[in-house]
Amino acid sequence: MEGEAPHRKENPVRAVLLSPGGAIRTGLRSLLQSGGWVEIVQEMTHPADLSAVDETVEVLVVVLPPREWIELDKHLPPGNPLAVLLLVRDWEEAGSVPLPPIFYNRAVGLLPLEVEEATLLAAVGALVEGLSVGLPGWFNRLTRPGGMPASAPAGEEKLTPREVDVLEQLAQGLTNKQIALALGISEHTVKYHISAVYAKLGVMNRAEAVRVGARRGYLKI
Amino acid sequence: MTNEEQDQLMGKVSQGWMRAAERASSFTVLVDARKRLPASGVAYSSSLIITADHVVEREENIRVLLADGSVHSASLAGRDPANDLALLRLEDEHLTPAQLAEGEGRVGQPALTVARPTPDGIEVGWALISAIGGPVRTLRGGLLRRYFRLDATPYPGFSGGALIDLNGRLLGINTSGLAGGTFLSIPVSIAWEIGGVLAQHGRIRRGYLGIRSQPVEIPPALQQVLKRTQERGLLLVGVEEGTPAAQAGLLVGDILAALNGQPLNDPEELVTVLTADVVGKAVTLELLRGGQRVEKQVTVGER
Repeated sequence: MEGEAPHRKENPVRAVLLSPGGAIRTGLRSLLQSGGWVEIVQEMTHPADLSAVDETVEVLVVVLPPREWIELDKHLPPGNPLAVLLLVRDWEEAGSVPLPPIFYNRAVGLLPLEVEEATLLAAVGALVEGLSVGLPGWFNRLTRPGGMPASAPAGEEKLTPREVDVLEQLAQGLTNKQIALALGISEHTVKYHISAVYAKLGVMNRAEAVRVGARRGYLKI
Repeated sequence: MTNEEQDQLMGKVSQGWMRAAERASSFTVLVDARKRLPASGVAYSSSLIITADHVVEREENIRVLLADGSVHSASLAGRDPANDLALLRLEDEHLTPAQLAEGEGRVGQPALTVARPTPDGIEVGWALISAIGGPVRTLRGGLLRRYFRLDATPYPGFSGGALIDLNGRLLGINTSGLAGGTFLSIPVSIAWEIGGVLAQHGRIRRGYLGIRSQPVEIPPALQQVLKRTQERGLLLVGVEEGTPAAQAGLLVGDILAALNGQPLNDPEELVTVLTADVVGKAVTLELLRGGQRVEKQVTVGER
C-alpha cells in the first residue's frame, strides 16, 4: 500500500472532515493532505452541518462517538453518493452500536483512528474508486445486523501458541530481530506470525496488538 | 526606549531565534523508516537517535540523513510503542547530541518545533506550550506521566522532531501518534529516561504479575461488596506457576478489581499501570473471590 495516486494531483480528491474535536481534525487534515492529492474542502463539527455538504465532495471522513452515527443518516442529503470513511476510536464501544443505514448503499470504510498515514491514504484512494475498505475480521461484520461484536466468536480467530509467544515479545517492545533471536526462528517467520496476529486480533500496529491481546486474555500480565 | 533601541532589541531577538534553529539543526535528523514521507529524529548521543515509534514502520533499511547531508543506515535499538518512542543506532559516532534545556518546559513558554522531513534542510514551526497534562493513558496503551500540549501545527514529518526553547535547547520530542493526531511533545526528561532504558536493555522494562485475564461484568451485589460503583473487573483465566501472582495465592476465577486502590476495568488498564516504576514494589490487589472481598499483597516482578 503506497497510498500514492499521482494521477490525482491534477484533480485532487475532494474530502470533508467531520469531527467535534479540533485537534483530531487538525491531525487528520495534515495526514490526508500529506500526499498532495486530497483536498479538504470543508470541515464540520456536527452531523447537522452535513445538510450543507457540497455535491462535488467525494469522501466524508468521520470521527464521531458511535452513539452519534445515526445522526449521519438524518442529516446527509438523500441521494448524495459520497463515500464515508469512519475512523473508530474504541472498537468495544463501537461493537454495541448498529451501523447506520447509510453504510449499506455506498462505498464505506471502517478503520481505527490511529491508522498509519499510508493506510489512511490508501483507504481514501480505494473509496473514490468505489471500493469499500476495512480491517479483515471487522469488515465482514459490516453487513451483520446489530453491529460489530466486541470480541471474535469462540474458535474463529484463535491465536496459535506460537502467535501468543510472538505477541508476548511484542508486548515487551522487542524488535523483529530480537523476537527472532528469543524464539530461535527467522525474522521472516516472525513477520509472518506478526501479520497473522494483527489479522486475527483486527489491529494495525504493535500497540493495538498488545491492548487487544491483553483484553482477550492471550497476554500474560 | 528609543526607536533605535527598539530596533536593536528586535534585531537581537530575531537573531536569537535563528541561532536557536541553527543549533537544533545540528541534532535534528531525517528518519526514513516508512514507505511514504520521512519523519524526524533527535540525536540522543553520538551514535543514538530518538524518534517517534509510529514513524518506524520497517525495521530494515532504516536510513537517516544528518545536518551535513550525509546519509547513514541505522538499526533499531529498541522501541516503546506505548509511549511512541523508538531508539535508532548508527554504526559509528557521527552525531552531535542534543543540548538539553536546563529546566522543564513551562506553560506559556514560547518554543519552536524543529524537524527535518526532507533532504532540503530543517523546517521550523512556532510552538507555545499551551498546557502540561498527565498522567494520561495514551491511545497506544501507555501511561504518559507528563506531556506538553502544543499550540503548534503538526506539519507532515514533524513527528520525532525536537521541541526547543529559544536558546536551541531541547525541551521535548514531538509526536502526533500518541493521541489520535493531537500534536504533543514528550518532555525531554521522560524521553531521555525511556531512551536510556532502551539503549541499555534493548527493550522497555515492564511490571509482571503472571496472570491472563478477560474483562467481566461485576454484578450489583458484588459492587456492594466492593462498596463502590465499578461495573467491570478482570476475570483471571490463567495464573502462571512460579510468578508473583501464584506466590501471592491468586486463583483462576478470582476477579481482580483494583491495584493499590485504583479500580481496574479492563486488562488493558492493568498493562498500563504495570510500568517499570512498580517493578520490585509491593502492591495491594483487591480481589472478589466467592462473593467476598479479598486483599493480597504482591511484589511485582519484571518481564
